[in-house]
Amino acid sequence: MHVTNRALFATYYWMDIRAIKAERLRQQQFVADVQRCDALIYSVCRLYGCRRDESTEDLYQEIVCALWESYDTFKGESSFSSWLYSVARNTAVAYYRRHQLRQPEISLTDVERDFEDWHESPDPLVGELYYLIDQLNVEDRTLVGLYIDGYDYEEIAQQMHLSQPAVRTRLSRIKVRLKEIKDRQK
Amino acid sequence: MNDELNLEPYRRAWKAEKERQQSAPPRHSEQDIAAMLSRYNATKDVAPIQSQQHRRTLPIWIGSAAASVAILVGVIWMLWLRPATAPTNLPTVAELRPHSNPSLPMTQNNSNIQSNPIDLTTPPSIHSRTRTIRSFQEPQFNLPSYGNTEAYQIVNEENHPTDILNTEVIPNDQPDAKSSVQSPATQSQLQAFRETGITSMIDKQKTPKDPLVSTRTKLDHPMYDFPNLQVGLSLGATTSPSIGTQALVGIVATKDVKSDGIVCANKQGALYLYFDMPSSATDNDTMSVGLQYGYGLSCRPTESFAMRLNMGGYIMFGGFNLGLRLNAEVSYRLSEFITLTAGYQYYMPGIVSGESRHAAMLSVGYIID
Repeated sequence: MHVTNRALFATYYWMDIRAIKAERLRQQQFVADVQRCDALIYSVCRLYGCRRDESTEDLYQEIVCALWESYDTFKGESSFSSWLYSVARNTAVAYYRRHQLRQPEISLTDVERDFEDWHESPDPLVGELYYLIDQLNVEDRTLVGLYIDGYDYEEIAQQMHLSQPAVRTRLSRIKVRLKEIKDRQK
Repeated sequence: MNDELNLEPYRRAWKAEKERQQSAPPRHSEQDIAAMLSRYNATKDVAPIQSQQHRRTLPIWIGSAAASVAILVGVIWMLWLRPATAPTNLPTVAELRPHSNPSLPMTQNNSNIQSNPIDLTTPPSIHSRTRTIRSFQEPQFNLPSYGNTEAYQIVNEENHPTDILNTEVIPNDQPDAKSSVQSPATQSQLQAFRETGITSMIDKQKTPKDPLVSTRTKLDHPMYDFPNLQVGLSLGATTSPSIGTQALVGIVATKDVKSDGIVCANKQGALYLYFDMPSSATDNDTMSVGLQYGYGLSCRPTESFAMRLNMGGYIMFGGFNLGLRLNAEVSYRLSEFITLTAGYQYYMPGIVSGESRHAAMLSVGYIID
């Protein structure tokens, strides 16, 4: 009995040490992966209305923590960046809803200036896109974000739990609205 | 169609921008991201990563079930399974003392004692003897024709129990009757009589006037009066940097090893359950189980007060750790069977988790011996 207890103890201790080492390696791998996708996380932050202020860092950290919490669910079936983008977008939507990030008074000039601060060589079209997206609500932002990310209607419908016709109709309305906003800006 | 904005150019620009960003140097270093995780752990009520590694958690229902069973067993044991106690109708010291009731003449026998004879040929159990001593109630003897008062007086005069048993004593209230114990006592009878505790009353050098007072004086020795073994239910809280505050519930057994002095050795064993609280750094409804055992010193200057210092080891499961712990406590005897103990524990850094831990607890103890 005594020997059995000692053997159990040794086994448990050995397993625990191994688990600690494995966990440390896992964390190091996670940090390296996230750092590689740093720009992707920033683009999500920007897509959901964060300016270059504390809110961006807050959302960035929240995304990192959400990624860490759900890191166990990443099975490698898709690329890490795809998985990260999906988690980051969901986290950003929740963050947006919680903090009601709405900046209706921002002009295109503000956005472009902001954009220039963020990027060394901005594409004017991207700056304009950010400005236009800033005028949309969170659901429309998500839909447009998925669309410009290259997802087709079927994938967008799956991600947003909508039917394909609904996605088409909604995207068409958004395009009309964006056109109006752009015309007004001119 | 013309009313819709053509998003294709934006789509291409966005794709190019993403590619450009991915090739650009990251804004955050690995240290920054690790620091974010640490900050998140600190603010979001989640233990630091390193601490999580150490905490192999158990479901909360296991802890609740274990605590419930432990409490249930304790209650059942205290109510029904504890060692047999002395009869509750034992006369008190006041009743035995002949001068305590002025209405009773010195020669009047105590009918209460007479009605509860105990067979002297059967040695009393250890427990009943202990109970008798602790409650300051004098034991009863199977001497139907004896008045207890008479018996004590004879003990003091003759100084040997053999003489008592062989002495022919005329009961107080039956002057014509003779004692039923007239034959010489056997060795077993003598031994049984000695074990009743009466022999401890005899003091050859200093025979007191009142033997009952003498008995009390003798029992005032702390090692005889204070409990030597008690089991307590302990409630308290622990705190450590990474885990935060946890509630603890436990069962503690404390044994003071008898000695002639005020200071004696002690042994202590405990089983504790540690539960996360809302204020814990981890709010995952987790628990740990801790076992402790140690040796130390007790100081018992009076019959109801004790101080203990105990050092030993602890082993924790559900966040495995192994190390030394120091326990300091003061104990006060509230009643015949109950003690109240306040304690502080310092858990030294263990071999797995290198952080110390503090605990404070309050125990209600039940005296077994």
